[in-house]
Amino acid sequence: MSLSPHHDTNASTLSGGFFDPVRQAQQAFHALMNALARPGTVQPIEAVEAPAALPRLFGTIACTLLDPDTRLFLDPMLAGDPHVAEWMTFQTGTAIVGHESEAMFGMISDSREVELAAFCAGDQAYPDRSTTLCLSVSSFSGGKALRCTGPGIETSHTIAPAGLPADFAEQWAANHVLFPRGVDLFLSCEGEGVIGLPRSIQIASET
Amino acid sequence: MSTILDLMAEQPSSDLAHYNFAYLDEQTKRMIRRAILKAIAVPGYQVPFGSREMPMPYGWGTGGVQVTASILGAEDVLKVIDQGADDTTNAVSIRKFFEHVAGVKTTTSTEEATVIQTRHRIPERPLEPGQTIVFQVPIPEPLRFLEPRETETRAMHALEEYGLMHVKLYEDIARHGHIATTYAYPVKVAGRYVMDPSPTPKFDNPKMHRNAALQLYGAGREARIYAIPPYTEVVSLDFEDHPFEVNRFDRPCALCGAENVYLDEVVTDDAGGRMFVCSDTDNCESRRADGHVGEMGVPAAEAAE
Repeated sequence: MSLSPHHDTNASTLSGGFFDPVRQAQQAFHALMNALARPGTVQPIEAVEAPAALPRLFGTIACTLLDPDTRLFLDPMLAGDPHVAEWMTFQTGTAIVGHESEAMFGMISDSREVELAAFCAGDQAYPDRSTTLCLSVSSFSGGKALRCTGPGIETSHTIAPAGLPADFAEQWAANHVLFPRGVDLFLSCEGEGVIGLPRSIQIASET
Repeated sequence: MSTILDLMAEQPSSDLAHYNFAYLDEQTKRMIRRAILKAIAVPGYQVPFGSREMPMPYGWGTGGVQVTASILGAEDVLKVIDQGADDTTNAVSIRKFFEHVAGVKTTTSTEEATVIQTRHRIPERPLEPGQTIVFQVPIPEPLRFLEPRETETRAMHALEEYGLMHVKLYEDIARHGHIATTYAYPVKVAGRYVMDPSPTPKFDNPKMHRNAALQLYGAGREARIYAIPPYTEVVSLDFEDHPFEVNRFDRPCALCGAENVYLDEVVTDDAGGRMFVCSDTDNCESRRADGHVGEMGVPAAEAAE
């Protein structure tokens, strides 16, 4: 292993990503769109090759939604590995920003520490200028039961992802109350897919 | 006269003019896809997007076409309707366009379709989970004719200040004795944003409420995308003493005998003859195939002979 990150750039940054970009981007987008339109449902999504530190579904989401017009925030764990930033820049061309509030997209590999309020909630007149956050969770079951209601859900939908912050329901309530401002979440779980949680829905912890 | 489709068809596939799947380039699709995700997250809010020139004039559904192009996959089955009909100019040309640039399967059957692009009706047959309906929108801003300045309407949406819209409906009542708005009838989505459902006849407004399908709206000239997720509350604005009412027809469809459907008036001669038929051609055809016959219709078997 070389000491300088520049020497081993090719091996890790040039490989991976989409091999059939048009088809794969459409399929992944279809899953992400359905995830937000039907909150709480697990939408299967194809994983791409990515640097070891990057959850592979983050790789798929990045290749689907990021390009030179976007600003990405990486959590300290991801930002600490130069391969991740290099891969992102090479594969998507996205700008990488150092502060949460400047980000259009945020990728958080350790979701237990996430603070939703640190990210951009958008403007009352332009609520679309907000951050879309991707949180990697270890499992879609075994966590605290969370009851989701609102647009996209026929009656209610209960999810129990493991690896969210202990105060997630409180954080979400503070996010939802800002509506139409607020952040939107994609929870990703390797081997499972994504769950979308748009700001429009209410989430209550079930006891 | 050659049309754009003829010109495109003349190009051999290996030639320089080679179109990306579904016409739009991938960068444009990503931008539109990001806008669609925001639109779904904030139901009824109009998300600005970088609308592109399309090989058809504004007013021919360029907004809907861009949304459809961005969501369409090779496996999708596309249906396009112009009002309720699959066989009118706008529907036929957009359907051909996507057959050509995306190679997707197309259909006239509401049941078979995974993506339905419409100007502007919602099919009579209830939509199902998993289906997406894309509306072509001419003027997305419901407050535009009341307040021409974008800066002002944006502030009104931000402050949820919709009093002006109720004044407009009230003026209808003052002048006509009832709310005379019959299409583009304003709705409130998920209790927050007032939205223009595109010039959909108000007959279809109740179908937007808690629809199982995802509703996407694209306005090309005005560069706005908005959405209603499945099962979202959509309320047509009204007053307690003048509740929202849909148009009623005093007769069934002349061809298939369907009641409680939206009818088109067709002039049949120059002596005042006319008939009222289903606006939704797929609904009418499948009903006739099932043996329903209206007063001016002929049984399906006879018609085939």
